[in-house]
Amino acid sequence: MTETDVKICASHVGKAFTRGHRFIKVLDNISFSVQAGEFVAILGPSGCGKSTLLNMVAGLESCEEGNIIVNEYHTAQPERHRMMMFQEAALFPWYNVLGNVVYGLRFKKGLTNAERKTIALHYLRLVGLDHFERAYVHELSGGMKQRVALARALAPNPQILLMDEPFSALDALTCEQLYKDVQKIWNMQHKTVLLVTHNVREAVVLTQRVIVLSQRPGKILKDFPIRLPYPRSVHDVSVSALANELIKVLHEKDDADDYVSCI
Amino acid sequence: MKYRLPFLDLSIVKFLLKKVAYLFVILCIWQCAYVLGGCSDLIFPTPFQVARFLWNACADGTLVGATWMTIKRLILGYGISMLIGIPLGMLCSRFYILNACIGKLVLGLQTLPSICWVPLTLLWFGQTDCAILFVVTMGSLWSLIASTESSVRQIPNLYIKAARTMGSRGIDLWLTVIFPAALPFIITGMKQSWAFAWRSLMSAEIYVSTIRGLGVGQLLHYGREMQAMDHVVGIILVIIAIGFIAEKVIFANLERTLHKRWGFVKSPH
Ligand SMILES: Nc1ncnc2c1ncn2[C@@H]1O[C@H](COP(=O)(O)OP(=O)(O)OP(=O)(O)O)[C@@H](O)[C@H]1O
Ligand SMILES: [Mg+2]
Repeated sequence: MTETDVKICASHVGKAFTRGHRFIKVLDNISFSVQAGEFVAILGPSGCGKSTLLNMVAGLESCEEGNIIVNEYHTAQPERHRMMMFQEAALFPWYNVLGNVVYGLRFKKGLTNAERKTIALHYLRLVGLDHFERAYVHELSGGMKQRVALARALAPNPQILLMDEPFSALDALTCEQLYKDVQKIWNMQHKTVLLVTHNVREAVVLTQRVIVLSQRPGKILKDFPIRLPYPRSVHDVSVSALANELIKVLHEKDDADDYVSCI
Repeated sequence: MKYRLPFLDLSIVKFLLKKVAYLFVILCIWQCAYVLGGCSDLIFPTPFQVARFLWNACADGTLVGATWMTIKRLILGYGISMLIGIPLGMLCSRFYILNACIGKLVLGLQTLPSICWVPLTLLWFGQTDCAILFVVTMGSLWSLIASTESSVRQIPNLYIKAARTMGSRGIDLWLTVIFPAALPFIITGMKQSWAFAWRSLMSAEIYVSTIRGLGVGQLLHYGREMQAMDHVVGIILVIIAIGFIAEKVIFANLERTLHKRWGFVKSPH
């Protein structure tokens, strides 16, 4: 791999929040890099700073210690070559489904409105939501909302897709279907994807590499490659085996902490 | 018959019948009170007298004209305060300096009963339409600024984050995300400040007797001067009806639709 293949490069990233008079260290000395076309998960317990890290990659939050370089530039501002999906779909209820997908395309230069609409419809078909373009957000189920959010994030054809626990509010069956669809889409387009999750199986099913973070302050515990062939399913034996291994990695640290606190 | 016309729907008929029955009971009580009380017509009119007055006033066009005049003033005066108040409230929520400067002023003026503007406006504008509009605007503007300002602070941060990652910023972010996201809260504020505007308009019309165009407030005033109690009570009923329609029918429905669309209510019932 050459240097230019590195899409995201975080080096010695740290972040702290002040709450009242207290100073809370959230992230501590995080360094990792993601190659072009790679599908990487960031896995960690709740509150360890995963969303904060992703927001920093997106340019929504400032980087205090260390730096994050995306496409050879510092991440000071959100840019359209990296799109983000959130835990809640964050769709705009004042637009219909089509309007929401077109929203991200408005700033693409050199497109007519008709072309924007055609592109949006194409991506809605890709996520399996054709015929719903006139529906309003409150008329959709949770899974459909996340599908629209996926279409909205994909439509401007970003190089990088950032996903912050996009499936954590959905039921198991819907999740399974979406895992299949996301794998299919990723195999078609090979975008660079950074997925934040606290669901071990989700990380194993979807990604090629899992970066495991510790309890707050988040440190990198392990960089865990997943070398299973796609398409994968949550029910595969190999997936379960790897998931168990990852759970062990997460717990080892806890046990060690308990041990230290016992002394 | 497979297809049923909506106005033949039984539930609507039932609903209307119920309303008519309630109204009938109230009118009966009114008439009984008149009979038992033994007051003169000058002090306590019967429902029939009031109905006759309303009928005649409608027939000769004074009531319709006055209602139209009043609604025009309301739309104009409240429109002005919306045009100023909503942008100003949004600017206040964005710029700390502006909020620090006019925030306290807004709070102070909001507590001032709008009728207190009447002496001032009479000295400035005389007995004119401008004077009435000024009172209406002053009566509703401050509460609208305050409620818009707090509306913008209530919107979920998630919308703004999502819009920023999609490349929206500055004015575009305000027009396409912040304003629509705040709209349901703004509507609630508008409902409240509309009530202020309506009350202000009535006080203004009673005190400012402009020659150009009579409003319902002025009709009410002349009813008193002519000592015609049926006239006074009839106009009061009209005023109640206008307020009721605007607040309970127009604003409440608008509010409900927006809250549903924006996902504040989980299910319609
Ligand atoms: N703006 C903020 N101000 C103060 N503290 C914050 C802020 N944002 C996050 N935090 C704190 O930082 C820590 C990490 O938050 P973050 O949202 O990144 O966690 P997370 O790993 O995404 O958790 P979850 O899996 O529950 O989403 C939390 O303890 C939170 O309280
Ligand atoms: Mg999070």
